[in-house]
Amino acid sequence: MDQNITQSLRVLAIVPAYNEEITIQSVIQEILDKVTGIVVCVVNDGSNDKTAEVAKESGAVVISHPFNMGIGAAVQTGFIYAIRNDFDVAVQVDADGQHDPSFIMKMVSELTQMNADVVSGSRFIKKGGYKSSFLRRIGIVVFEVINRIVVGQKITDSTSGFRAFNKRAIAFLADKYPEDYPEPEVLIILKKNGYKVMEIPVDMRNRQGGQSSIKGYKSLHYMAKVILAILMQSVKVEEK
Amino acid sequence: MKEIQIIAFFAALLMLVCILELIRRRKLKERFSILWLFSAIILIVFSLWGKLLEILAKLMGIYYPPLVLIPIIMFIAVVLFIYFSIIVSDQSEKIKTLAQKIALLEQKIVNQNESKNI
Repeated sequence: MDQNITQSLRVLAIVPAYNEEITIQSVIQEILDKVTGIVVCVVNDGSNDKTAEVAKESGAVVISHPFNMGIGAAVQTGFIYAIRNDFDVAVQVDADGQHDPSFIMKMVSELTQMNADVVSGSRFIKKGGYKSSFLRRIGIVVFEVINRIVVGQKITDSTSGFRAFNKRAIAFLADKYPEDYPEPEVLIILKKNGYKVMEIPVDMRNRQGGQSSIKGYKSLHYMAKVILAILMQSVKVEEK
Repeated sequence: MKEIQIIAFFAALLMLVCILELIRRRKLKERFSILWLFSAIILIVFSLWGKLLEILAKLMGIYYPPLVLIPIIMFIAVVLFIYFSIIVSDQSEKIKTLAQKIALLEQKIVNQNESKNI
């Protein structure tokens, strides 16, 4: 129904990338193939490999940080670019090929139809789409409960990095963006400031290259740190 | 005056002079030196006014007056460390903003040059 409205929106895909030369080309290619009229902006976060060159050849706008500053800073740079170049929607997409670009338009149309400020792609709304270990599922439930309390809304996949933002949310996040564990923290600060957050089910694939930065006993450590960051974020004073 | 007081006084004075000299040579900015100067002055006061330790020891219920110095020094150290952590946090935020602006500018310049060359 809103095909036309959705089509006329200027959409930017923000792809934060750190040493992703193996997968970056196919990721960019797939986004450009599946979403007509989209601009892909790769934020190269101080990679040591050929990520920037490969991305440029693949037809992306490339912004290179002078040194590595973490995914939070990279996504924020993308938002600043989106604001300066007057994009209507920004979609954050991982550089490792986990996110299927066919969902991008779904997320964008959900954003406009439901009048949301953020639409987050969740692996966990639909059962069976995502295989995970027992430990991981416990972690997911713990996160759900904490989010329920802190965000005041059911968030099934607070660490998802596959999200669409409207102009209002872009402007807000370009100004301030959490650094340590940005994905869960972003939802909290947006909710706290009265933005409308929604989730839609998406399928995520296994990574095509690279590996998760979190595994084994480290995941417990990670969870503890994220929970601390979430709780701290929820009580932080707004800076004016 | 006890010998230990004289030694303590000169040590604290040396610290004060070092800080002032660092400021004079522009190795240390004034706004970062306030806490250091304040600490040095506190130490000088303690070295000159020996009774102060005894008074504090009585107040805190410590039998051996010189031990009063330990919590005082720890307090000064903790305040200094927290103060410097705040400065580091502030600076890392500024460095991030700077780096992002440079990255965006660089992209803009490269983009402009490319469109000129076509």
